[in-house]
Amino acid sequence: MNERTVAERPSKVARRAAGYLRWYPRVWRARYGEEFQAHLEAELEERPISLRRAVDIAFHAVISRFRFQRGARWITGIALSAVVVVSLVVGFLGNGSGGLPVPLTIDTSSSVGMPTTPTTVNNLNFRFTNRKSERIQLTHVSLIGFKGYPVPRIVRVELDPQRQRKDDYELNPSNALFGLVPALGRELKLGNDDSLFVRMVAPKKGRLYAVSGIQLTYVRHGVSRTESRSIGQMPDVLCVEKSPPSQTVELPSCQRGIQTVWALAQFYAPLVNHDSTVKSMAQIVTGAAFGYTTGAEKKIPALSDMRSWATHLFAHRGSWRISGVTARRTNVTIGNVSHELTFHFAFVNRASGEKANVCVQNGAYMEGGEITPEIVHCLRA
Amino acid sequence: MSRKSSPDLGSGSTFLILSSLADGEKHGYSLTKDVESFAGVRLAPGTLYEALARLEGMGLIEPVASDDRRRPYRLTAFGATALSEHVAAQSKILAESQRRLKRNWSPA
Repeated sequence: MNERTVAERPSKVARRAAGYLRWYPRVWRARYGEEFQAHLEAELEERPISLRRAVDIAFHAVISRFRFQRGARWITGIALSAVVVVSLVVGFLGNGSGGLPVPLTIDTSSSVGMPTTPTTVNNLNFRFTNRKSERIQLTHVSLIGFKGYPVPRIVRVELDPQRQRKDDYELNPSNALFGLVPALGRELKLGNDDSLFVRMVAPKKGRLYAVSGIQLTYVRHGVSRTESRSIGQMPDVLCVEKSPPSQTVELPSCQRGIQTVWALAQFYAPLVNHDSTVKSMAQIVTGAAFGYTTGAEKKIPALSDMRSWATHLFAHRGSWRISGVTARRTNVTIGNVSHELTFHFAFVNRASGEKANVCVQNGAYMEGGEITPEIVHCLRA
Repeated sequence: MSRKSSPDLGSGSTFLILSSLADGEKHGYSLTKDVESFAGVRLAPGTLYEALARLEGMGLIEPVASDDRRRPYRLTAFGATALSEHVAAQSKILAESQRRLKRNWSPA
């Protein structure tokens, strides 16, 4: 008897969770249904009965129904009235209203992240991916910076209204502007695979510009909404070389600046585990030094390069201070050439004085590929 | 087009969720348990998922690909910056509150 009860419990819980889930509209269920049901099953296992939970789910389900299925038949007049009042309040407050966010996400075809000139127009591209089209009026677009670096200047925002036109552009660049329409201040119909281009310039020579995302303000169904779009873990960087344009692809001072921003982005990324901060710092210094030196067409960084990057990045940052860097030859492959190189980082905790050691071996570095510094055991000298 | 400041995170579920994700990626249930452990607040499922959808829309968090039904979420770089700025601003207010309490309301 007891065995049967235990065996039946999961299915009963799953049925109850599915019952709660059905309160939400289909659009919402398509996006969050599976994970929400798994979440509810865990909740129901832990607390089989909770009036607060039932009321909370019912309330948010009604709100979602109202957002996605205005006029849904099952909503009673009383519930509809209550939701109208709540929605008006939420709408008045701005953020959080107007249904799910417009599905615009960063497109990897964005052209930034490299040295540029003050007159070059660089693109941040966002792709609309949804089978159902949306009508919005885009009223404002601004760039979100990174760690105090200035943001580039937006020169125009445009919509490529058909994916086909983008394909034409890729096949025939002379048609680059074909089909693009100004996107600010007018009603746009966004269809699947349409692209929004944020075009910008880095106006001053010798300056480093960084972008971590954009902020969009748009009107949908008469409700204004402001949202942000991240461009990923690594900021995009624009840099204008002080010296006159040269034929070389890699520009030394810009290269150093770009490496710095990317290294800092890694340091501040939420994926950095606080339990292994020293390991992350050692990897970041190694990655920055290798990225910079290989960019400058040197094969591997000298020990002085490594020390310089350690100081440049972490002299006044983080709870640990890098007190020394030494190198020893082990076994590492860089490009097609085998080297033997392991860097030994010594750390001192700024607050407690605790000491730590981390050794990093730069793993296989393929030309044009990713540099993956690996933590290794520190061998005795 | 000038740069806008980071979004206001308030002190409710938004702030609690971002604080929890600052420690690493989590799915909905583990996020609820974590928030309960460090803040003593139990986020109800409807509230939690409405907040997750809103934060995702704002670009402050992002889902992580998973084979499991339970989809984990993590903080984005933008989210980490926004949380960091919010904490710094709140810390200033707390410090000022403490200073005033100490000056005017501490026992003689």
